Amino acid sequence: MNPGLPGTGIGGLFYILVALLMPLCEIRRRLKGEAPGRGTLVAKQFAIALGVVAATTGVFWGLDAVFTLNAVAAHVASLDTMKWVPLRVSAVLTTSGVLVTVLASVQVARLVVRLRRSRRAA
Amino acid sequence: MELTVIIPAYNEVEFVGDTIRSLLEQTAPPKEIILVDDGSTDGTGDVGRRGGITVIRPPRNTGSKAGAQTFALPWVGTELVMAIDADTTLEPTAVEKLIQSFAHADVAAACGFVLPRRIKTVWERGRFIEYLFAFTFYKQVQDYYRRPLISSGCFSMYRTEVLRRHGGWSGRTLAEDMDLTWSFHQTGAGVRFVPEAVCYPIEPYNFRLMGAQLRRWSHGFLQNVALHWKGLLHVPFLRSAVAVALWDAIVASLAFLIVLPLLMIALRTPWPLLAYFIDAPAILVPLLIGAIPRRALGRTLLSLPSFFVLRLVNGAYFLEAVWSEWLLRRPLRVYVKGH
Repeated sequence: MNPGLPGTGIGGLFYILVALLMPLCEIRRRLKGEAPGRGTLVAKQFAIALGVVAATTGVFWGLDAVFTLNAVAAHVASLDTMKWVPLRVSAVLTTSGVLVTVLASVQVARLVVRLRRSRRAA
Repeated sequence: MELTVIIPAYNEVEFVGDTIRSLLEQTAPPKEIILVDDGSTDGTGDVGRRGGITVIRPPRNTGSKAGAQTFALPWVGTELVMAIDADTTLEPTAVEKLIQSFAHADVAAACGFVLPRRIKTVWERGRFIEYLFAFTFYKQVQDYYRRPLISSGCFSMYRTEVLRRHGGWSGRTLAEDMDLTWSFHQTGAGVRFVPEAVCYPIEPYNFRLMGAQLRRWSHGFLQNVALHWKGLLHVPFLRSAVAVALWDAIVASLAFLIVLPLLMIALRTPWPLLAYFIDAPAILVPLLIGAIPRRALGRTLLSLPSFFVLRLVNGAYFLEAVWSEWLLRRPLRVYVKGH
């Protein structure tokens, strides 16, 4: 089975980030002498993550271009235009903010549970 | 290392013969194959007997796949045990590849790459894309960090002694594979994903079967989160992966099914429609990397639209599960087979 909805929301960003971190982890593992030689896997997943970033950036650049043309057309027609933050910026900021919040909440929950356990033990 | 295979089966006469043949043709054939004929009425057990494998039958239907598999566990006398669905076939080297991962003493469970055997209907196509995407990207990243989220129930191998220590497959949730995997992670038992070991289950081919499966999976996921959340908080990577999956399943489902339609009505514009498939190019990247070596490029591109249909339906079932499991506190307990 497959939990969640693949491709949506913060999950995509989470897996991109951890895939981009894989080369650093691999170097650390090798320095510790514990890597079983997974260089191909690391390279493949790193490439996928970069590809996903490129594809997403392309989509947002395209959409921003469409909205810009729309705004220019409205301005030419002397209509009021709505100001917007380019999607490529706002989408990344929003998703990153939510991801950081979710991951931080997990850490807070972990600390709370640990604190309660140590209090009970005392 | 010697292996016993357990095949839980309830009325699987149509497919179980292929599963048995596929096991007998493995490059590393198992020492014993046990078919658990879980109260079938269609002659499933006879297919097993004709195939020359061990057939056992509980006194009455155990009520779940977990029950049938655990019923067979006392018959296992080998170091390794594998569970495979009665409608699943394997690449000839799949068993050999999984066994290799147990050369590391800390590995207690291993699973393989899952791809639907039949890809015809919209549901099978949607599932094909979902699996190709997840097993090419997410699952391999999870494995690198030594925390595969699930050792898939349709095809997984275990170290028998560790499995017995955990009491076999538990029926306390509707997702016994997730329950077992998360229990393993919490006790430090290693779980591996082996992408070279490929299996081909029959996936739900119509809405009724797909609905039954999605309902079971959604409820099972939430039941496991409720059961394991405190323990998961102490497992690095897994805690983050589960939190992110849960957030996306709830928030994206709400966005797709409620927020975006309302937005379209309120703003009187079709632009929000874009959000339903705005991630298509991003999804395509791992899909193409997974599809090209399998020579499945055309099939992948043709199937991509079905993925977005399945994702929406999945979202609806997930919200229903949140509503009844967590808000109404009415857990789903009946295991309904959906392939």
